Amino acid sequence: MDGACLEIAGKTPNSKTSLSENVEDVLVRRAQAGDREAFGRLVRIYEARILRLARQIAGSEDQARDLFQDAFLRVYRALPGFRFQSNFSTWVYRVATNVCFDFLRKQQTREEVQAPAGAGGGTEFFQAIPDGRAGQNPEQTLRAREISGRIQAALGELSPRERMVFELKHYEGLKLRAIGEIVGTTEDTAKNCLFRATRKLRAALSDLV
Amino acid sequence: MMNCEKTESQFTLYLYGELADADRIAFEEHLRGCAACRRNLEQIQALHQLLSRRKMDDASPELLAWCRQALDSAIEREASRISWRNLARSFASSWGALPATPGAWVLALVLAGFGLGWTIRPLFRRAAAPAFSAAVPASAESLGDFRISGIRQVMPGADSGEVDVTVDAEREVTLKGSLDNPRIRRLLVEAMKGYDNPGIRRETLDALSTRANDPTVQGALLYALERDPNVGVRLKALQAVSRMHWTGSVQHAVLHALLQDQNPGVRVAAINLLVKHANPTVLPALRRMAMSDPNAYVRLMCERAVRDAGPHAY
Repeated sequence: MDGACLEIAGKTPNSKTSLSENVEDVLVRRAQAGDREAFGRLVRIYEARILRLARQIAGSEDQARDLFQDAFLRVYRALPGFRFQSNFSTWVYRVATNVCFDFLRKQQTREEVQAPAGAGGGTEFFQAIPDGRAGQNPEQTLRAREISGRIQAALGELSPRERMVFELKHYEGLKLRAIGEIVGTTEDTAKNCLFRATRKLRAALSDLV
Repeated sequence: MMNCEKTESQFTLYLYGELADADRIAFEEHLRGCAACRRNLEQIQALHQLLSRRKMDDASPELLAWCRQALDSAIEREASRISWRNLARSFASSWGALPATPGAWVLALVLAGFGLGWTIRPLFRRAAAPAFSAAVPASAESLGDFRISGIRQVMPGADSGEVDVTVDAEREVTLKGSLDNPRIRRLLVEAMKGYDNPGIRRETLDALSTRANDPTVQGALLYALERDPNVGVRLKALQAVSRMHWTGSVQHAVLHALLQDQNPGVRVAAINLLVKHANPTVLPALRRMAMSDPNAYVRLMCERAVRDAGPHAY
């Protein structure tokens, strides 16, 4: 894990962290000066995490690819204006989160949130069958798909902010303080969002637990 | 002493390790004496475990490679656009400051030309792999095989009968090189994804399919299979995909074609490919399409594939 990630996860920074952050700062400054290779290296640092977040939010790889590209394009466009007032990793997450917010709002507007399993659509299928699971019992696979569809539908019922706070906390493991900074709110508001999200998910999935 | 009402909001924070030390100690003390809260905590823990089942694995290297490549292309376009904009801005801002002498105008135009050339050089650098050179014609005779697509300016001389005609001229250039040349491959991948003419995309796909296992080519072929608007191109892509190593990403792309493609011919070709590779994880999709595909032949094919798979699938 690189230094920036350690910081955002709220763990104690050490000398290695500082070194990584310094290297990252150098890369940021070089990228700001138009060095494409430096920008590419910054992308390599964050791509896996941002892609995972995009896949969690989008529910399909097609849309996740679009979110990924949109997020990093926005980072590229906004990079000259980055003034090191926040940690770079927080800033990258904030940009990516804004892209995800836009996506979730559009989803809600179009009422395209996935229906519970069994209603069709291929996206849950992909979630239920990650790579390299050849040989798994088809019935188990189907059950996994159904559960995945139920979870996806329950997450789709959350407000965009509740959804983002929950995703960043539960799946990305970030600290609430960092999450507040990323979604542009206070730590207390992030706590309340997380609490409301958990309550809604508990109600929606009560028959599965 | 903490009461049950107060603990309600703390279960989640406790499980995520977000309670301050003093709150956590008080919470745990309350739990020891309260069976109802312990049950409550267990239920939320079970909910967390259930939700964690949805956690994504890390993206496959193929998907990451595809995303990187698409991002590189998008940034390349973005960088060109930004350079153009900056050039236009700087030119516009310096325009008013230029002294109105002929020499200054000539200098300004030379600078603009240089700036333009510098701005678009990445495009040529990308396109021109083995041997590429373009000379600006100085006379009508040297136009050679240039195609004139428009006239920008005509400047007659005073009395000499000479005239300067500024034209937009394009010349066809044939790049010859091996598909093993990364620049050639990249040019073709760009054409595959960005060129409007479906005939060209099909021919490009034909050329690329001989290198179907190159990661960059693979990304472009899977992209074409999933997103190309032309059904002929998607079918060709499916043929090319059949030559690839059968990885999870390839299977996903073919499943995507089965589940999402609007054209029944593509869906049937996808079924054939899935049956050929006989991976039992595709059975739920085949079963579902056997019941729900709008096309009777596709339903029949899926049904047959599931039946042939038998109870001990594949």
